[in-house]
Amino acid sequence: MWEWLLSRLDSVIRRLKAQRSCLNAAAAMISARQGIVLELGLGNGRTFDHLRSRLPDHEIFVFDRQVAAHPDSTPDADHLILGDLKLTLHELQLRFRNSVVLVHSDVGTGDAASNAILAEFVGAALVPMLAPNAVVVSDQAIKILGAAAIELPRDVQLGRYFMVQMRSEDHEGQG
Amino acid sequence: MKDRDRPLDLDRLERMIERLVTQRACLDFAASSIANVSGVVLEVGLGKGRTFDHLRRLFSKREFFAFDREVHAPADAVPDEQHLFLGDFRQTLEAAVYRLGCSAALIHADIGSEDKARDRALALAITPFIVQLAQPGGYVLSDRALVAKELVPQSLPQTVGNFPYFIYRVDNAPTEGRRAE
Repeated sequence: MWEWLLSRLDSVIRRLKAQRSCLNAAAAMISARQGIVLELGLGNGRTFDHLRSRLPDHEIFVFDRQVAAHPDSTPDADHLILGDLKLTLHELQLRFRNSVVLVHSDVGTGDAASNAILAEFVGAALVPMLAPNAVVVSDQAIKILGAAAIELPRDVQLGRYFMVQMRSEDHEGQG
Repeated sequence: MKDRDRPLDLDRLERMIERLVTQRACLDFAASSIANVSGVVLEVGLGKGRTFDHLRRLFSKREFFAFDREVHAPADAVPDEQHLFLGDFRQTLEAAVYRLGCSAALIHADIGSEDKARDRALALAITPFIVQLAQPGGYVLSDRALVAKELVPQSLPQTVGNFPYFIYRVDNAPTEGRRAE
């Protein structure tokens, strides 16, 4: 409506607050569960820094093309997976099989069409890695087989950020 | 779980939110404060162009000049060449004193880095130019403390976040070294 009145400053504040709210909600959902956390897109390391302060007992693996983050917000070499997401996610599917409890996918660029394609790829590549009840927080709309959208935190407008959760094992039917 | 309420424990995402919310609160406050002061607006430290974009929406009738070492902002958040000073702040602000004189109703100096000693030296070096550029009754906002007798510290609006910021009202007409054309 008067969206166009928002300045770049307003929109970045809104985006960062939405990220924080969704990550906090997701972290609360999985904090008591064992499993690993994936951050797709380290960027400048802000949300990685937030995740590790919220989830100090979880191992966090970070994927990015290259490191552009602050040195003190960059994970150690064992937890940093550099390269094209389309290759690296596939390479690690076996290693992370059924063991991921939380994913933050922040891979969007300015281009809506390529964002949608990448989100579709990420959604498919994650499926074998996600544990039952795993939560995926994404800056793009994301479809994951076996997962359903969950309610966003109250202060996050619909469509601003996205959260889905894998169904628990009981609902899977047969093994 | 760490105590999340202690400001020193803020992580980088939280700090960034606090910083941007504080900037916005200070810019909005300045907008109402200089409503009756004519003059241009200077953005010293264009950066990603976020606060510049915010300022130009607040002051659609005013002329803007931006300063930075080099352009990092997206093209639509950069002023045209006539309104852009590129290079070291010490040199570009001095050049602006010659070109613009005492003309600014608002100066936003967003100059901080992670190197506190460097920031202090820079703040010290540019303060005289800021003072010469700022009109009496105008405002100077900065993420670093600026010390000059003409810059009278003001209290921050209540809507600021948990991030240090500085608001000054320009109280005296600068007299020395002023070279308005």
